[in-house]
Amino acid sequence: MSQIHLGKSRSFVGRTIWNLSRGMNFAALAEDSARAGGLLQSVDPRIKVVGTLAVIVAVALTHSLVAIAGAFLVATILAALSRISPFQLARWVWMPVFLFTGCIALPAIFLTPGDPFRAGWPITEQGLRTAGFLLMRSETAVSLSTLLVLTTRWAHILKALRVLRLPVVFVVILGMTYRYLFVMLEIALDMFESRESRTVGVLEGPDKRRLATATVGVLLSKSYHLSTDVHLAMQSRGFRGEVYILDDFEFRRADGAWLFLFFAAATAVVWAGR
Amino acid sequence: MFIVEDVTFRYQSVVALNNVSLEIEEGRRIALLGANGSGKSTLLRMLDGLCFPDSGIVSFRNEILDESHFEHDDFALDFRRRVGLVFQNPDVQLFNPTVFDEVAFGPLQMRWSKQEIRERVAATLDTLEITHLKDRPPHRLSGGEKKRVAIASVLVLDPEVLLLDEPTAALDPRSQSQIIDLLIGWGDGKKTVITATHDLGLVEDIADDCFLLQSGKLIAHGAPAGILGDEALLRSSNLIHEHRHAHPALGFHTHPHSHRT
Amino acid sequence: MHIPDGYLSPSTCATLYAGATPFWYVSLQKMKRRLNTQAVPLLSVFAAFSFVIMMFNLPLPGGTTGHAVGVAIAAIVLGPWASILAISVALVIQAIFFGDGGITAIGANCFNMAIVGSLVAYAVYRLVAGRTPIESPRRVVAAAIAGYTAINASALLAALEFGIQPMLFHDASGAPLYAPYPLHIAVPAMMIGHLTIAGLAEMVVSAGVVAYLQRAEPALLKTTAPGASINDAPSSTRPLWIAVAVLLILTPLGILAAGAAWGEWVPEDFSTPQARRQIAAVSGNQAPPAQAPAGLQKLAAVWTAPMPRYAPPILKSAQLGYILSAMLGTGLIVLAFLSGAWIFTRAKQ
Repeated sequence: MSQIHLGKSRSFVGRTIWNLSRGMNFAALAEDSARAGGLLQSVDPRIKVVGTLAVIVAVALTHSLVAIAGAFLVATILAALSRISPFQLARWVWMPVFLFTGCIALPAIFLTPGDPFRAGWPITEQGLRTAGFLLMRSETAVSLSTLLVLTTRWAHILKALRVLRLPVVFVVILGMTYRYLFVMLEIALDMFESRESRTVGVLEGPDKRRLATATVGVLLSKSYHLSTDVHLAMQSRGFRGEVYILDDFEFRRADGAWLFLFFAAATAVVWAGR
Repeated sequence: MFIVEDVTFRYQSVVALNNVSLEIEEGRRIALLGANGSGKSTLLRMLDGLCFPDSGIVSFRNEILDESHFEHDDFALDFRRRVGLVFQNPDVQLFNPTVFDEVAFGPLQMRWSKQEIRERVAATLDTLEITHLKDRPPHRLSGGEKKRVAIASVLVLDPEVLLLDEPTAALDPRSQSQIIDLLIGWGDGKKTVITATHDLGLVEDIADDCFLLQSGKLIAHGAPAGILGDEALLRSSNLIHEHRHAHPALGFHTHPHSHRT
Repeated sequence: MHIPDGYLSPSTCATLYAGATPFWYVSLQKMKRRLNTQAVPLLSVFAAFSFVIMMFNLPLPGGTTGHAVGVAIAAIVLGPWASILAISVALVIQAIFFGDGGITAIGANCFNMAIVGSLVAYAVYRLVAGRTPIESPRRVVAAAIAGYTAINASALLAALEFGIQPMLFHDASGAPLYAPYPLHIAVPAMMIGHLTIAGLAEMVVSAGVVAYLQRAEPALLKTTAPGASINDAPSSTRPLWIAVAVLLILTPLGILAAGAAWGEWVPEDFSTPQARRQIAAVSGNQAPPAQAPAGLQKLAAVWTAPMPRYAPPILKSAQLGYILSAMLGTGLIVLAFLSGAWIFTRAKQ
């Protein structure tokens, strides 16, 4: 697996390589982190899935900025107790979300009609509140889902989704997609990296486009053939169309306490803003 | 055990198998030899009931392997348990999120009880010495580890027939010898092993009988010693070639050899 | 275009989940019927492919670069139903695992990009490509137009979803709780980026891949080529009509808007003090003119819609009138579309 790519380059090939590597690096981090012995790692995955969902929905519903900030703070503390440092969260969650939603929220400070924040300023109180809601909800929600992903193995998250009554076939497809994601990422990375090293000089526009679309075409072709082979492999071991999974979750008393805590937190967040 | 009668198979305007006929007896260790594109992979898949001939008949224990037969659950599941195929590319065969899930896939399809599945999976992982990998996702395995998981996923069903497509391809020498040792030890002469390969170095260790394929046709059949000794035959089927290279003491010269992968 | 959490209210999200569900259900049924056991590995691998494509930085004419979703490629190669599922799966994994797109917004993102995107791309591709053979250059053009149209349809939907938020959802002090920009800002802001860069990216990749496949692997284009039909028994489209029915019943949510939708005023509103305050509130605190503009007065008289204020005089309930108007409106749109398609097919023969 290609690990280190320092900074973005100007070429579209370089930037694509950067994106692909970043995806793989995050997945590697998630797998290692989920195996570390932290606080949340030891909680039953089903509780974490349902609980995280409850708090995210609560954060979406509430009318209280303070409640959202509180949820954010608690998430950060729980992360630290689960061997995930604020620096890691900042790198993977807080900065990207701030750059994206921050840009979108900024004009709202000036454009939202309402009472001026200070006399004579073009900023309204409502504008600040609105920008606050948008940014804080976004940051908190992604922090919560990232916390789930960094403390729970993906295979367990998927099996835990069954508790939400999602069909088994959907869970199986999600698992298989995740599995083949890495195959696709590797193939794409190899194709781009070999281009990068073989290209001498600068390509003209139409050639660049042809290179990019040919890469997509090759990847599509490989995808199709891979899927037919996988189909054969599945049939070879008895697959007849029905999918089954084997889960081995055990509910312990501590998990019951966690379930209560998650739902209490969710209720508090919504109640604070009513 | 297996009877292949006058089988022809076309794939996208290419004739992959051309009037092939052969018989494989139970308990034998067979090598299907041929260069890439000779049709040996196709033949292997046909023996596993994954594709069916355009003309001719493939039968296993006097049961014809055709599409309508496989529509019956009892026949299909029974066959799938008895005959296992290890694909050449392990990525194709490792489609579950973890190694444990992968090995458990076959038993789950067979609807065994959860308790039995857990026991059998644990035992198989142990036999292949990959218990420490049971929670790993497939993309975090080395080539040799993937191959062992692939073999485990088939052996867990305790098949009577093991079909292998280029089992040592793309493996480092150490992994190769591990796999070969495994294959030699498996079955104690009571199981049938059919290996498709172009690696001539393997053949004598793993097979008592050889079939040589070229461009979809069966062109030779016999004991390994006979086939491997026939240079002209091997050269015409692209399993060896003339190769010019340097020996430090003797200077440049030409002699026939095969590339052992 | 992946909508994060916090941009759409939970009720909007729930509505879009509800709107997406029948399409997911129908797509899964159709996939099972057509492909049987191959559906699972095909969808999984294609979802992985789609995911990776979304990470590509594509070079565009003019020197810029952009990202594409690949929805037209998926619809052309797999057919619309499989495309809906494959792209939905990719979006779900992006949302849950990578935090790209909100969890509450999964329904919305799938509805906009996977569902509407696939259906629009498929319809446009088949319409423009007609009955030409697989190698025809017209198919490349058709793919380009299909990609461009699909991505802009998705963007427009997203813009509409954003734009109605400040009208419907704000806290006690009047601050919008979710996306803060009304329609007249949200729509141009979203569309400018998509009519240009994102649309171009989608166009380039759709055309380029179809051209590549025509040379390298034409068999992959068979699903949507002449002779291929995805028409199944009419009963299997019932869930779609159920979805439309659900959306119709939810339209009274529009009634909840405090005051009239922006721009939908009658001349009398300019004289009523309460209406004037509402107009000012949704127009950036600009006070409306003292009287209705002369042009508005003249035009208002020309077309007195058969259903003034949407409620026929016979009906007392505002909600019922709203639903009936919505049904009639939808019916007229569907009729217009079907007539257009019928005329087009006739013209081809």
